[in-house]
Amino acid sequence: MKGVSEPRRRSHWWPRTLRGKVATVGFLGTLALAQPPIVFAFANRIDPLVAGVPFLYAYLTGVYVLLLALLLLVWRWRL
Amino acid sequence: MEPWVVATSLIFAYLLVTLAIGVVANRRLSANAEDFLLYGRRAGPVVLYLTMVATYHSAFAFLGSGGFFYTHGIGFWVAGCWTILVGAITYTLGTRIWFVGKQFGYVTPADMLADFYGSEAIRVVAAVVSIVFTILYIQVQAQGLGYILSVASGDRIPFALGTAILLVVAATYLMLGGLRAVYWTDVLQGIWMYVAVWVGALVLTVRLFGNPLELWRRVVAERPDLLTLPGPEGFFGPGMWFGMTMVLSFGVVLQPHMLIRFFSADSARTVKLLGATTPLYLASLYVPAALVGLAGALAMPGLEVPDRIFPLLLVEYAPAWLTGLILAGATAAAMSTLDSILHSNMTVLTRDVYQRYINPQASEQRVVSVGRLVVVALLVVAFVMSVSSSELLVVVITMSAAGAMQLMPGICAVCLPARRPLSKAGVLWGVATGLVTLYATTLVWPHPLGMHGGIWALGVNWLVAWVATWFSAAPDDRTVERVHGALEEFIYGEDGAA
Repeated sequence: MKGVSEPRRRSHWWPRTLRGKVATVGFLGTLALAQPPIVFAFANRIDPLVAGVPFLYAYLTGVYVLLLALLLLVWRWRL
Repeated sequence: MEPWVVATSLIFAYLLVTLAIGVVANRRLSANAEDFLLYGRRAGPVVLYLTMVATYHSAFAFLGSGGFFYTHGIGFWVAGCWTILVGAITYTLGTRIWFVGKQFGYVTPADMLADFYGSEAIRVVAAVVSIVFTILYIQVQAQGLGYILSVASGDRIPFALGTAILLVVAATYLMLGGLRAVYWTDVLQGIWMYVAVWVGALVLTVRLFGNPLELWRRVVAERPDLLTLPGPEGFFGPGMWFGMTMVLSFGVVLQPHMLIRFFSADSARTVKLLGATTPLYLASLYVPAALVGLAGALAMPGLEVPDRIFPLLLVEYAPAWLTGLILAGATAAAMSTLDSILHSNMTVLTRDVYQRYINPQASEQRVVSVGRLVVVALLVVAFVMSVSSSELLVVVITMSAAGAMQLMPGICAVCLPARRPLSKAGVLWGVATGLVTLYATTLVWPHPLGMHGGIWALGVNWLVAWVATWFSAAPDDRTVERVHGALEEFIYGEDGAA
């Protein structure tokens, strides 16, 4: 940048602690399971029914439960 | 007693309760602008939880989501994804927004951006974006309210009169008690709407199909096209799926009425608790919405306006008292968003326009009085918008969440320290090109390559902001050190090694 000295700052875009890294990678990885291309390639079908509901709906519900559990874990870890 | 009398009476009883809450909130109000605008930054977890969820879920969640499941099938269960992402954004970004707000006295998003970038131009741009892309939500909510009252009364209360009654009630309790009244009514509204959606959906499912599993079995047999992607009309392609996830999480959280909720929290712990737990409420509300939409697709196929499926099913298949209670829940869903947007627009106009440019020496009491006058003005604007319709309004509403999302690079650069924060010019050029791109990719060439226009706009915004930052002066180093130094200590402690 023009004519400005840049003091060295540590970035906050990536967590520094092990637990922070595990939580971030875990959340983004699980979120990816509910996004293209995985949802469209793997989960986009009706059969087999899971507990009486179509596979796609059950699959997404399962991924969401995992994500909710991760958020609660992060809260418990006090990150 | 006739069914319409029961339904309408229950809605009016609900409105009286919200007014009573406004009166009680008024008695607790001090002559302090921060109390009126920000609940004195003392909102605890229970109140903040219910106002967050009630505000996030508008009339759309109550009426529109059933319509989406009805038309496009279970692809709309992508809603679970974006509501969970709302929790993660609240946990990470919301906590930081709360901190800088408390530390440096920010009341509005424009306050925060103007201070960090040292720019009145950014204050104006942020205020304009904040208002333009949310004020039209008022129109959507007000129209929803008018429609609900019209349906409940069997068209005996005309749409315009219903809209006016409900707008006046919301504006009255807002003027009486400020953000405290909004929060307290949201507590009632948040509970009522959640119970109403679940009870209504389960009653309809049991009456029509015996139980939810039988409903699923019938959909598999009769409408399998509703159970896979991209849905019967090809709406939920990969680009739209990803785009809606991003736009309806970041885009809604970055709207001023949501950011103000972070500013008003009593502690970082409260904001983190909200981040971890609000998705439970937000996502689970779409489970009964799916039952309503799919039940409607079987029981009432071919509706011209699918958004009406929930009230139409209720009127047809549920007892009058239950229909009244549930339509009062729909009223709650719309009012809780409407009052929050009225409040946030009032706050932006009072703080960023009146207090900044018209009367910087105004007393606290004067600011509160002006805020109340602004609510009256917004009430008139909202009513006129809700009973009229123009192409421009439809256009701006289409871009609402994606428009607010264009502030994201600027806000992230404030709250997430990096080696190179964006510059003032970078943010301004980014927002400008982002909005132009949003217009082009939403209206001129809608959703190129199947990707949501908001994602194209955000991508261009961020790229331009980053490039322009390289060729322009950085924000004042002392300001960056003041804000980012405080954040470093807040997040990682003094040694920065946590």
